[in-house]
Amino acid sequence: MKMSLRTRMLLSALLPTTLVAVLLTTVFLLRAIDDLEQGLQTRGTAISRQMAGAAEFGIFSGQRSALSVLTESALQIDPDVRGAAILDARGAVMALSGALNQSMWPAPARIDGARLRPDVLLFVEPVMRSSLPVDDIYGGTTAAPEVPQQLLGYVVVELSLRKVSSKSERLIAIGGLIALLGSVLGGWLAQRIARGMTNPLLEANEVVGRIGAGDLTARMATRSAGALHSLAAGINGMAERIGVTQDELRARVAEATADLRQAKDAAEHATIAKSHFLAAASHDLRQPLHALGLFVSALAQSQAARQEPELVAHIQSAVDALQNLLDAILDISRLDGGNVVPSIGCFPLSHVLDRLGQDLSLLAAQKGLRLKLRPTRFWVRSDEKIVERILLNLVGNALRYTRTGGVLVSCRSRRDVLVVEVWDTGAGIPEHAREGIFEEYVQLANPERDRAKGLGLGLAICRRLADLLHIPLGVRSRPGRGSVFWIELPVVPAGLPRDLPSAGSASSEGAVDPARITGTVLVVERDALVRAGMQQAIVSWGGRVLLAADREEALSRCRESDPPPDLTICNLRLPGRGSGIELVQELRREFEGMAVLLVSADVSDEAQNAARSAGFALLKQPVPAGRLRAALRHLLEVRV
Amino acid sequence: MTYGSAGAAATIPVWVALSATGGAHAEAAQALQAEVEQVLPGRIDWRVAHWSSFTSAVPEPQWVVAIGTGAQRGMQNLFARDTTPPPLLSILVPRLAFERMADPARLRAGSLSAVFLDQPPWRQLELIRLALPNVRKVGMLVGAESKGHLPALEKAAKERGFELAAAAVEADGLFEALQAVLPNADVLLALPDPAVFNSQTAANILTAAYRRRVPLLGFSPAYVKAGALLALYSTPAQVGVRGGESLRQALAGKALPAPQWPREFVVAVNQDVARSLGFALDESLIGQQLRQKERP
Repeated sequence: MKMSLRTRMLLSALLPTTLVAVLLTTVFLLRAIDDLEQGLQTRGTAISRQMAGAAEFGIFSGQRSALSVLTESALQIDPDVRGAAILDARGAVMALSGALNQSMWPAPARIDGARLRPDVLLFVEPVMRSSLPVDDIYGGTTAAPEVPQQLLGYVVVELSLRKVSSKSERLIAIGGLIALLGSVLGGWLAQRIARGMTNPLLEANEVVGRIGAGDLTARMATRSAGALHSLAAGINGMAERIGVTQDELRARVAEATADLRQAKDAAEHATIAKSHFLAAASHDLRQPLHALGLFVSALAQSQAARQEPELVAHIQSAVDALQNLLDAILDISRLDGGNVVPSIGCFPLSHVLDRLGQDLSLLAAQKGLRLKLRPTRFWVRSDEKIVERILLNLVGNALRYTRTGGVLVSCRSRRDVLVVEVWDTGAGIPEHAREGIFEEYVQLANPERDRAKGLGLGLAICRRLADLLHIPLGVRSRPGRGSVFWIELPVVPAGLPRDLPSAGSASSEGAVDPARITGTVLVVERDALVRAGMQQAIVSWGGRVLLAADREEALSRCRESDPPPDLTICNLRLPGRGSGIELVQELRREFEGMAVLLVSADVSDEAQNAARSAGFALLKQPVPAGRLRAALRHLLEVRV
Repeated sequence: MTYGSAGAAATIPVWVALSATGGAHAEAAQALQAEVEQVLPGRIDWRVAHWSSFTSAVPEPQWVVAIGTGAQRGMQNLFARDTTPPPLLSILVPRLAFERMADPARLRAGSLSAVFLDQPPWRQLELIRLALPNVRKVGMLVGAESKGHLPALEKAAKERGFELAAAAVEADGLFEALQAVLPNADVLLALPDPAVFNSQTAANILTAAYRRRVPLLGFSPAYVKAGALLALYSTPAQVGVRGGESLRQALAGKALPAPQWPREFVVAVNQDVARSLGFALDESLIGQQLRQKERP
């Protein structure tokens, strides 16, 4: 049992006090009771002796009445005398007074206070014939013969212990009361002392505990600490020193933190600057690239292309590569910048596989490879667009690095995940290089950096996308035999509601319809080169084009034109005040039924959200020619 | 102890045999010697010793003085075979004891005499008459030994008009004897008899007598101290002087006087008891009157 400090102090003070009180009381009580009994004993002896002296002549003379007077007087002498009797030498009773336990008397002999019963003391005194010194030569004897003293009889006295007992009981009661009072007093004092000690100790304990918990303002009240004043002062001093030290430490930490923050701010600033630079640079790169793409597309349709078709094809290829490179770099920078927020929903993976087949079967056929996508009926829970991007990259990569054989996409469920594997029959990846392939610009079989083999950014993007979805992405490979890239997707158990993602329709628009477009298109674009590229492309597809560089020009072109334009292609960013969205909204108010297509090199989510909330389609610049044409056709058809 | 005398050849060897060295016996011996030496200074070759020191009858002394009963018995035995034993004077012996031991032939031949320790009956009765003039009835407790005093006492009482009431004390019958005698007695006359009067019985006899308001006439100073009203006795010195007188007569060539009572005596009164009993007694006056009665 663990006792509290106060209890222990109380006990240690109270125990000896109580012990001493009880012991002293007991000793004094025993002494007092002993004295009482001793007194009774002495009285009994005295009474019996006195009676023996007085009874001599009565026994000698056989005067029973005189003896009765004697025994009666014994009763008067002492209230504790229960009775007295005088016996003759043979033990026969000559006189008797009071209540006596005659049957319990032992054989007569001198007895000084034997306990006859628990409450009766017995005294027996022999009565001897007294001797007078009269033996001399006149008496006829020269020397007195040593005659044994002659026994005349006995005096028997019984004393009652009852009064002594009651006195003893009273004494015990008083003694107990004194011991109790002593203990109580001792306890009270002990408690006071213990409180005087333990309160400061407990307070010290609490203060030390608070200091330990970090509250350095905790202090003891030294005035109430009493005997432990120096302890309290010591604790306070200690707390103060710790506080001073702590403050110094805190100041230093704050200083270091400020330095670090400054360094971090500088780094973040640098990153933001880099991102801004990258965004600005890519935007500025996209504009000419967009234009270039449009020019090449127009060129391919022109008479000149018929004379130098190979040259045009080469230019087309180079432009495509450039656009892919730019897209990839922008993707990575977007992912690194944390601008992409996955939109998680449930979808059947077969949709994704179907689109993969549509997108890549042509490429596979061109390379003479088999592309097989095993159908699956599982639904998964993830971001459909991002999953499609990952698989597109993986399958694209596989097709790119496989010379013969084929690529297989298979799915198998394992517990609550679906493992999607992309098998190829390529060269395989040596073990030491397996982690490195997910870094940017690592191409194993392309040290000479042949652009046709891709940019080496595919797997780096895949890794970032997988991390974004918190899904594992891995590879296993046997060099010379091929590789398997895999991802794991959480499976939606059959029977759960499988809501299609609301924003899941932003997938590819499918194959480009080469059919011509009809109608008038207003292009609002401040970049003249892009304006010209668009004009050329749209005209080559059969459309009529109005050009404007800013809002005022756009408004005047629309008002001049008859009929007004069927569709407006507008850049989100326009010179002067107002955005592209405000302009097209203004145009829509003036010219009802006008279709709108927004374009922008700004690929941020805010831009997309702004366009979506206004109810307009937004295409990223540079817009591939096929895509632009499909969008135009779609919007014009819907309008009709 | 030997009192040797550096006298001439004419000194007379005298043995003084003591029943006990020191005390009353030595006191009596000294008084006797002083009485003789007064007349015959240095003429006597005293040999004073405890009787048991005299172990041989030779050289035979001219006179033998025995002091006390024990010495008398010892000296008689020492010279028992002697056909002509030296004359023996026995002093400080109770009369009855002397008479019991004495050889009648020697008494008649005058070679044995005595000075008694106890008092003659007439003296006791005369004292009673002097001290307690109203007393007529005299009570007595007698034992086997003291019975012997009765005839002489009765004779003397009759002569003086006293009534004697004597009760014999049987074994353990003291109180009965007291109860028998005390109602009929005006005074209790104590007679020396160790069987009746001893230190064990004295207190109860005195108490019983006191309760009956019967005064007791004792025979020794101890009784006066113990509570008797009166005591009549002769001191050892008085007895010794009387013995010395007898021996002086014999030395002077006269015959040994017949056994006799001590001439001098003492009357002692316990004034406290006298007051308690309502008497006014002057012991010296009574003694004087008593002596005058004896010397007409």
